[in-house]
Amino acid sequence: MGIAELADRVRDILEKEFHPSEIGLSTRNGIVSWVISDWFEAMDDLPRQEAVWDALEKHLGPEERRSISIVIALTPKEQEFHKAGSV
Amino acid sequence: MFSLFLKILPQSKRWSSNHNDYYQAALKRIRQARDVYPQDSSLAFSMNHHPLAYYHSGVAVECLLRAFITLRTKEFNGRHDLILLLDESALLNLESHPGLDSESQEKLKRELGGAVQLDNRLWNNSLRYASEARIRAHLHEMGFDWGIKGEPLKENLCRLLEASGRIIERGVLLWELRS
Repeated sequence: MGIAELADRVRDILEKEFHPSEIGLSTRNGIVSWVISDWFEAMDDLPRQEAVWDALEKHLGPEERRSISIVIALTPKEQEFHKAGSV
Repeated sequence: MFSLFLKILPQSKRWSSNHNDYYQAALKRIRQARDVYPQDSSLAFSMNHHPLAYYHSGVAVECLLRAFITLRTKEFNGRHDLILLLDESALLNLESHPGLDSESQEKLKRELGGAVQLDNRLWNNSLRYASEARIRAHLHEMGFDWGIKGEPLKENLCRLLEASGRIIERGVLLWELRS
């Protein structure tokens, strides 16, 4: 599976599991993704990471997961804060 | 002699940092942040320096990511966006580090993912303009003071320092491996 196809699968999995208001994917250096969803409200950082990686583990094999560098899970309010300081 | 050098060098070039500048700045900023927040609780802790340490904790990570990016290119788009800078830096592309087995890789991705995530939740570059009151208001708006019995700014500074420190440690390891 090529990196673009894998990125599409990652997007599908994250959309299905977390119903994000926004999802970003880059394939420049492995797959880097950011998922913005109310699903992560009131959750600490490690449980968020456990949730996204467990979801990916359910649908992807180890070799496919190896190509995913990082997934950042934020709430819409956190994303707004993040964007406010990015320029 | 130095003033002559400044006259010859175009304005735009005078302040453009290279990868070594960014790397050294990353180490310096995280050290400065830690100095303000001593791990040894018996040492005096100045509340007045909280905002400075808070800001430096995030800037340290930004410097580190810029160091890795400028190893390869002078052009980058992330500016102060830690997620975009992380992407451009390839710092967490573990495929290029075959020494790690699959299990260690997955563990590291979750740990570092959590650290980067926390940095993005607690820090952004506009905090350089923020007063202590503004930072406190932000922590309250985001619910970061929930369940904290002590001083919210101090507690969150501690979390931010730990998260930034973890990213910097990873960066230092990779930086040393490349030389």
